[in-house]
Amino acid sequence: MALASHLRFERPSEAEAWSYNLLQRLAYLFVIFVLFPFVIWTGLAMSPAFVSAVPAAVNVLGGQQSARTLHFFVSLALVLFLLIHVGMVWFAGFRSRMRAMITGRGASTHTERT
Amino acid sequence: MSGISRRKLITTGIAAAAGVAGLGVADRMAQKYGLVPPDHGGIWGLGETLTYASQRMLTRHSLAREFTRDKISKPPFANELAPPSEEFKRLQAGRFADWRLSIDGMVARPASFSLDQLKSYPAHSQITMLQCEEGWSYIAEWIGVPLSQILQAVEVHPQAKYVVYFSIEPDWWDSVDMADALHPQTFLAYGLNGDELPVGNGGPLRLRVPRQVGYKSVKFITHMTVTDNLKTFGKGLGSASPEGGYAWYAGL
Repeated sequence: MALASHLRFERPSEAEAWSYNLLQRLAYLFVIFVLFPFVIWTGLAMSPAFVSAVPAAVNVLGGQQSARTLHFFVSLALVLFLLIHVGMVWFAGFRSRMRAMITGRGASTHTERT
Repeated sequence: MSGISRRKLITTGIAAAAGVAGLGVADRMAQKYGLVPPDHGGIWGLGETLTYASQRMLTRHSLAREFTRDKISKPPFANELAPPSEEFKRLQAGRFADWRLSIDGMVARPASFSLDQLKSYPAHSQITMLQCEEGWSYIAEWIGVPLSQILQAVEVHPQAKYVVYFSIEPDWWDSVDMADALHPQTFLAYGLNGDELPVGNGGPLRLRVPRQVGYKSVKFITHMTVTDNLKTFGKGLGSASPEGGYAWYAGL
C-alpha cells in the first residue's frame, strides 16, 4: 500500500508524515542492520592484522581485493542513502525536523505520540 | 535553577569524576602494557591509539595468512625504481657483495652483516600477500631470515621496545614494536619466488612485515637501531610515515 501510493507520487497527509511508512522502515532497517555491519566487516577484512587473527573474515568474502570492491560499493550505497535521507528531511520541513531530532518533540501543532 | 535538581547535579558530578578517573587509569594501563603508539598526538591520535591498542590486545601473536604456491601472483608487481644515488649504483655494480646491514642501539653486540652472512642463517620462506595502501596487492614467496634470529644474535636488551630501520634512500625509515620485530613472520627478506629479491621489489634487502600494510616493509635496508624511545628519531612520531600523514601502526 505504501509502495503503491509512493509510485503514484501521492503526498502523505500531515498526520501520516509524522510516522515512518513501510518503505522508510525497510530502508532504515536495511541501512542499520545490513549496510553498516557489512561496511564494518568488509573494512576489517582489508586489515592484514585483523585477518591474521580472524582469517575467515576475508576468506568467506573471496579474498582481500573482493572485500575492497564490496567495501567500495557498500560505502557508495551509504552515501546515496545519506543524500536521499537529508533530501527527504529537507523537503519535509528542515527546521521542524531538526528541532524534532534535537528536542525529541514534534512540531507544536502536533500531538505527541507515545 | 529551574530544570536542574540538586540530585541531578550531584549524580552528574560523580559520573564526570568517575569518568576522568577511569580515563586516568586507562592511560596508566595503556602506557604500562605498551598500547600507546608514538603518533598518539594530534587530531587522529585518539583513533590511532584505539586502533593500535585493540590490535595489540587481539593480534599480538597471530600469524599472517599464508597461501599455497599456486596462488602466487605472476608477475609480482615491482613498483620501485632503483635508488638514484651513486652509492647504490656502486653497490649494484658489485652485485651487492659490499651491502651491509648494521645494527646498534640497545644490543649487547652491535654488528654489521653482509648478505652472505645473513644467508648463512637457515633460510625461511613464507607465501604471503603484500598489500599497499594505494589499493594493489600481490602474493609472493618471500625468502629470508626472521628478524628475531638476528636480534637474538646481537643480544637485544630486555628493556628494548622498538626496532627502527633505515633504507639506503635518505629520509626513508620506519619502526616496529617488539611484538612485530620478534614475530616469526617478520623477515629480513633477500629472496623472492625462489630467486634473488629484485631491486624493483626492494632488493637486495627488504624488511618484510606481513601483518602490516606495504609501506612498513621498507626497501633497501642498511641500518637498524634498537631503542626504548622513539622521541629522538625524526619528529618523534616513530617513523617517516606519520610525518607524511600515514599511520605509524599500519596493521589497520
